[in-house]
Amino acid sequence: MRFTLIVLPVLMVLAACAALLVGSTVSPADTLTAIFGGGDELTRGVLLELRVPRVLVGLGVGAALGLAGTILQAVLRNPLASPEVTGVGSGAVLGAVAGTVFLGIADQPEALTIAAVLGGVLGGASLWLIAAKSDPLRLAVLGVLVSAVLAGASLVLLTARPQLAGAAARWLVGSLSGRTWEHWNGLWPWLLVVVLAAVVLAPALDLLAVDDDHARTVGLAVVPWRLTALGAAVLATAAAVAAAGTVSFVGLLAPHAVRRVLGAEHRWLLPASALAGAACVAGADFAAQALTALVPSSGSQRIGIPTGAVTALLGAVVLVVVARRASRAQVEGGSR
Amino acid sequence: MRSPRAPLALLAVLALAACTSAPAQPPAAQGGTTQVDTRVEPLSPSLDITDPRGTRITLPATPSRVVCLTGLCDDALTELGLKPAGTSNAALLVHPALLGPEGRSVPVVPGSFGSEDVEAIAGLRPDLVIGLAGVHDQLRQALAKFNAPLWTVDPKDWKDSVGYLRALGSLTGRAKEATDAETRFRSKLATAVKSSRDKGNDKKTVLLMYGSADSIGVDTTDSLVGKLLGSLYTYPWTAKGTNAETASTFSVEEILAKRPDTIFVYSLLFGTDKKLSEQLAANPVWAQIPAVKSGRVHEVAPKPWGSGRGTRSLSLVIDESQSLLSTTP
Amino acid sequence: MKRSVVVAALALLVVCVAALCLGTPIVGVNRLPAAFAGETDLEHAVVVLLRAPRLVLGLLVGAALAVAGLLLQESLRNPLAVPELLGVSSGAAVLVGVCVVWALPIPGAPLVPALIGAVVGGLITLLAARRAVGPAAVLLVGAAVNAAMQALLLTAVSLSDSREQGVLFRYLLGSLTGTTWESVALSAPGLIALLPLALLCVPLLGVLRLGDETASALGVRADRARLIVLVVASALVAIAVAPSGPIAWVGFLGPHLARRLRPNADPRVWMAWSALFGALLVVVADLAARTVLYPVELPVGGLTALVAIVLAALLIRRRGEVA
Repeated sequence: MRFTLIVLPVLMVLAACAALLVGSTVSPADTLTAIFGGGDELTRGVLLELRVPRVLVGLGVGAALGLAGTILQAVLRNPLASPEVTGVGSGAVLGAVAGTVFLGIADQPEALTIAAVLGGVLGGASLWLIAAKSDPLRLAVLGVLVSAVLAGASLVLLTARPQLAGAAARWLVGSLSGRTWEHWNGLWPWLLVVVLAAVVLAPALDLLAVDDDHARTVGLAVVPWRLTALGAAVLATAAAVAAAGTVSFVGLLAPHAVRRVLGAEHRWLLPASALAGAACVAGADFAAQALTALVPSSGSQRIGIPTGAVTALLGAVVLVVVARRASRAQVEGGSR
Repeated sequence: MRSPRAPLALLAVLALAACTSAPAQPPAAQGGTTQVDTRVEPLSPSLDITDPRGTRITLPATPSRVVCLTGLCDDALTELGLKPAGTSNAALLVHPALLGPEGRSVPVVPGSFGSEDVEAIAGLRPDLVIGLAGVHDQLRQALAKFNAPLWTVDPKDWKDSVGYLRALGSLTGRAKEATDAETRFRSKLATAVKSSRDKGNDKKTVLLMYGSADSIGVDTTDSLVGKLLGSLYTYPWTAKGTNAETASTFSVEEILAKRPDTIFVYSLLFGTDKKLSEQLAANPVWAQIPAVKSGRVHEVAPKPWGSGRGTRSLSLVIDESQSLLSTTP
Repeated sequence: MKRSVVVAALALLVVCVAALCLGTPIVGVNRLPAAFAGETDLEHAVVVLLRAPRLVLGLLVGAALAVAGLLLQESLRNPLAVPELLGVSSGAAVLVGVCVVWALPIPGAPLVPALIGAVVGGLITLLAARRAVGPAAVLLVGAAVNAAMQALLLTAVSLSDSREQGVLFRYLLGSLTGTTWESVALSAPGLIALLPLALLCVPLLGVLRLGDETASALGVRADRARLIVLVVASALVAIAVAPSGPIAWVGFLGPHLARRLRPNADPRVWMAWSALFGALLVVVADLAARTVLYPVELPVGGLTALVAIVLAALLIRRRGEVA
């Protein structure tokens, strides 16, 4: 366990450094010079005003998604719960897209965060209203349904304004391009709130993850705690979406990966998931940047691969493997 | 908790989606009624200008390295005899109507439309970046860190295009080039409107569309080029209920009903060896349309017709549409 | 029973006639025979060449999607399993998107690439789910493949220019615009051949409903039976989405309406009713899609999604109260 808690931060720092060094214009060698105080004005500008906030936003988004995923999986007692399949993620995207299309607030990260939070609450609340009493599996499937409907609504909005489709499509696939300190400023207060909430929530989550009756006998006020936990998950997801769009699968896989190693205790699980999520997004951003540099330009257009596409592809492969293994383990181990 | 609030909330959101904007005024569809004013106001260089949308731009010095994220910028700079420091519209810039092969030397800004790579733009060391309103606003803050002010433009008709040309000419200290270009464009348009009326072309129904027979989009009367064509010919293609400049799915029934005499088409979506005019002629529905029947379907260059927006591209649209209308197939 | 059949037949007739008559120009019912006989060019073109193929394809696609939905829901024992989770429709959309963005010269575009993409998407899901045990795992694998495909598609969308995007969104939401008799001729034989095959799957559904363990006690290998049903469902969805794009939620609504209205019927009857409701839904939604904002057409998938939200909320709440 100790080992993991050392490995994860190291991994995160490595991924962050890799992401910091790679970009479209300034070479890794020049960036290194700039880090140690050298380099020209442009290199320093790129490093301080683009790369650093970009990496910070990536880490913050990853951490927020990792925390949101862990909380949701505990509260919903469902290892398949994640921000994407609870309607919260796609609700937040809908909020951000609606804000962009109707209010024209694409250039105000703080206002966008609020639009995304409202959307996320809408998504989470609709799932809560239709599925409050469902068992975990049914809830997960209902969640996929709600998410798909909300994602459909975002698409309908985008067809209504075809001119904006390109700019708004980036909400649907997460991207870290062009992130600045303003985005980080829009993200960190929410992240701080969520981290504090996570600290407070950790012991309660251990109880909520098992079953309500047990929690009640120990003296836990189940409903308020659960609502608080869900609220924290909504905030974390919405802040992440407002900062980077939909970075899929991080919220599902980060908690899964660490639970395998660390067991089910939330005081370890929560920080470890946050670290793993952060490492995951920073690593995916590095991969996306490196791929963009590798892909030959097609004619006169040079493409930029969004970070969210990398996490979605990798995440899908991992999820398929996990689902197959889990289903076999379930059969071998008898019914749960 | 068992109230119908959740579905109602969702419905409300979707209802909002369905009616995104107030219905636009039905613009005059009939061509040939426009009077083109050929007078050109004098213009002097200034580092403090107000653009046709009322946006005020103040620069500390005459910009010498302008990066173009929208076609209007490439177009206007070419009119002024300048070259962009970087462009995301390389295909437009190398069109003969603009720089031609010379445009190949202009660096290309990577990234997708609306989220171009800021690092690459910064690497071009621009002192002015021109983008499209509603699309590029989100780059403003990042660009500001590199002292590259972002000017987002939003031309609605050719008068706006001229206005932006004048504004840019004033900013770059090329007032004479700007007014010369304006004079050229105004007199070209005035001549075109007159000749259209003399030849009876203003009674001809034309259609500018993109896509393929399977799924067509139409430049509506709310689009810049649609409005321009409407001042020369009969252009009855409105997008009722929205102010969409382009309708990405347009009813074929409406096209059948309005019976266009001439169709201009660009951007074939699927690469095939068959020309679109042949594809349409082979399609039993499209074969009913006079333009298809008489072989008056013309393929035009996608970039100046679709994303040029400036006086150079619009001049090309005027010239090409006139010469294509007067040829007999 | 008899009465509901009569009502259904009448509803189908009314909807079909409405779909042929309404639009611009409105063709009176009394003018339809003349239009079919080809007496006037314009009415003939509009009714026979534009509206009729659209109607036929709408009926077939709606029926196919609803039947596929029923097959999935029964075989996976999950009332919320929808064809969208098979990765078939998003596979079709991805390949069409790639063709558009990179202007690949593929003959027969967009129909052929859509079909290839649909088959590949379905195969990926089926191969990935082959070793997965139990219905929930199959669903999850499908959702994962689907999400990855969506991400690829949206990446393609964000790389295209704004006018291509308008057309690409059609493949994200589904639309019957531009249907010709050729697209009907290409997809109709496949769909008509597969619908009876779906009926043949009904006995397997009966066994699968009992649960995997009971099924194996009866000597049926549940996973293999499920795979057969999934293959049939995927083939149906693939042929349906190739010409029309993924019309959302038809595969969810058709079977649910059938089950609610005929709760005690056997799966064969459900299948017929699902097909009917699916077909009606698509045709009505398409009628709305092409007339509401005329002359601009809406993606029909957007409208079916709207209907689905309302109905899904109602259905689930009812169900919750009963349970």
